Amino acid sequence: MSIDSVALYTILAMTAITYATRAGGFWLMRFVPLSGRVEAWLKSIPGAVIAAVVAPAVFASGWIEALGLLLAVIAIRVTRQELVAIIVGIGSVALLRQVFP
Amino acid sequence: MSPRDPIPFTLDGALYGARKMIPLVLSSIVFGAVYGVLARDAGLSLAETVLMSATVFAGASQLIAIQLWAAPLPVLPILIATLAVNSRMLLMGASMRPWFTRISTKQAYGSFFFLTDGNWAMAMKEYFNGYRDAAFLLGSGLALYVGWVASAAIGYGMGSMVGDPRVYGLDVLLPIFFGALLAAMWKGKGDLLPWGVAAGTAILASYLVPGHWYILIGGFVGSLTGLLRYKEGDHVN
Repeated sequence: MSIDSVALYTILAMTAITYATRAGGFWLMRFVPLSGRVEAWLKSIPGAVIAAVVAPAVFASGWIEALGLLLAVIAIRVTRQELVAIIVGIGSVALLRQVFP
Repeated sequence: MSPRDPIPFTLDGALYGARKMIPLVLSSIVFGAVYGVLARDAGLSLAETVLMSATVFAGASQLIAIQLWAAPLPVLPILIATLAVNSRMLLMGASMRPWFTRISTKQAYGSFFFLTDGNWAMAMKEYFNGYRDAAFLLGSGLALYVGWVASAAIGYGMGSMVGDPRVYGLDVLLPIFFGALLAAMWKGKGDLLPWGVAAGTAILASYLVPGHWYILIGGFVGSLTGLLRYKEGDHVN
């Protein structure tokens, strides 16, 4: 068990930066009064951030992954269960990758 | 529920959060092990590998740090990449302001250590459905944390015996989970503009802006267009 001191300080600095991003947005909002307008913005963040994660991933992927996502979307609209959507989505991707390597 | 009602922070909430994370815990264990394998290949010691998972606890930035890992250590590029990749969490924390501002400071800032993409997205979906127990984030984050840290050590020990996550489709679990959550969050045509702008901006930024800032950029620009939905006198729940 050994830790190089430069590696240790690098990991600790990564930790500090990462925690600052985790807590920083919440902390900064202390200085912004929660008006109706601000709450409307905050309410739009989850959908927008999630779309910003998914869209580039789908755009850069192939038809199998896009189809898997479509099936997962249908599954959650029908069953309302995240677990079912995940199983349908990654199951179909795994299967199609076997069939079309 | 009126904005003045107290916000609970209970063991039940934490356990409910942990239970909702089970599929993501399984995939994070696989990815934690992959990280452990790659960390060993990159020349990290076991202690360094596990320490990074236990303190940084952010998969994408850890994998990028491992890719940059070399002797002498490129400290500044690693730290800049960490900030860029994790900058998206600034928006996630901001979005929790109306909810977490009504629990104690200690509870809020302690919980934020455990904020990740998956449990934040799940928590906000629950919040939009009227769920209020703020311990959800801590419980769901702890479930991910235990699996993530343990699997780093396991991956380090097992080496190349860890299989390729692509075979099981696990590499697409997070985008598929997020896509499904988005579909579950859909409230009507009003969502089209912020989501579409966020998606388009993020795709463009992923090609034009170096260094993984695209989620922050797309999410921020998209969420701002959500303001167009706001009319004076509207009550936002």
